[in-house]
Amino acid sequence: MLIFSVFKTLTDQQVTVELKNDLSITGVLKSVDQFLNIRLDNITVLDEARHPHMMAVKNCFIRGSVVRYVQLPAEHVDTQLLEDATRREAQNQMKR
Amino acid sequence: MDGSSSGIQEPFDLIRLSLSERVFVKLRGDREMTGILHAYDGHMNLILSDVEETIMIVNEGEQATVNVAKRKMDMLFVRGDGVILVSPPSRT
Amino acid sequence: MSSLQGYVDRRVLLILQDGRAIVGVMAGFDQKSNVVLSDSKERVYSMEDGVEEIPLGLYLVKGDMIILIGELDETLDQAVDLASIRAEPIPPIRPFPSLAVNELLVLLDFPYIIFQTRVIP
Repeated sequence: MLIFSVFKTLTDQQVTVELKNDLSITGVLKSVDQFLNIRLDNITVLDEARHPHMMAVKNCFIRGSVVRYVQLPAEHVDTQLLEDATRREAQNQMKR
Repeated sequence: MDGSSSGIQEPFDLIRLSLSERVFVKLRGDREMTGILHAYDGHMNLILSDVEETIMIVNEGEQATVNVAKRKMDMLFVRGDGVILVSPPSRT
Repeated sequence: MSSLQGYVDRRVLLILQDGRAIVGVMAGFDQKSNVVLSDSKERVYSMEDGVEEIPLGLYLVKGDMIILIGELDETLDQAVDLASIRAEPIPPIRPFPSLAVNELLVLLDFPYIIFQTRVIP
């Protein structure tokens, strides 16, 4: 839930999603759901000459389970807030 | 800092105590990285900053060689299903 | 999955786990992101020849198999001369290698972790 919330705060920011097949896609984060499926707008694929398959694709839906990394805009991530929220969530897990 | 005062009871507590510290992460696909840990969850999804990733590319053959590629990233979400281990900073 | 709603009746590109690329018009989808495509074609990429389009017709693709769904800009897509494109197929997603020995070796490389968990009261 925590990570899902983080992604929600980053909507309309530019991110780079790296897939498990080594494809890297940069675009504007439009939405995310509980499975961390991601919708990107205005996409470009890294090394487009080698990967022309998505030349005519302008926006896409990426299955959460095939994501390896997402590069986030550091200036839009409040690390102190994240750490506090993570500690709080860890506490809640303990009580269960 | 002993276990009773810091409340270490389960493996995840070790990760909790590493928040805001540099950790070492080993990943599937012959990858590893270090970075400052800012968030994690029960799937071992992680958010790290100031990340340096190392990728080992093994060339098999008569004399197997390993090429090492490194890259840096400012702020990174790592999906938990690729995480093999998270190790706290070494305190030497 | 509400985020697929915007793709209904649009021409889309599906990329599958095994690296296949399929284009078609999205006729429908469900909550498991199973997708029905009409007028679908597989695009086969290679370094030797141009892109080959194999007609598939009406197709149901299981959600688990899909890694990406992209909306095609039809004017852009039609402007592309597929016959002139040379490219490797999209790499498949490697299934995870089995663990056991590998994992054990990893742990032995990092005795610190084992030590830390032992001091837990």
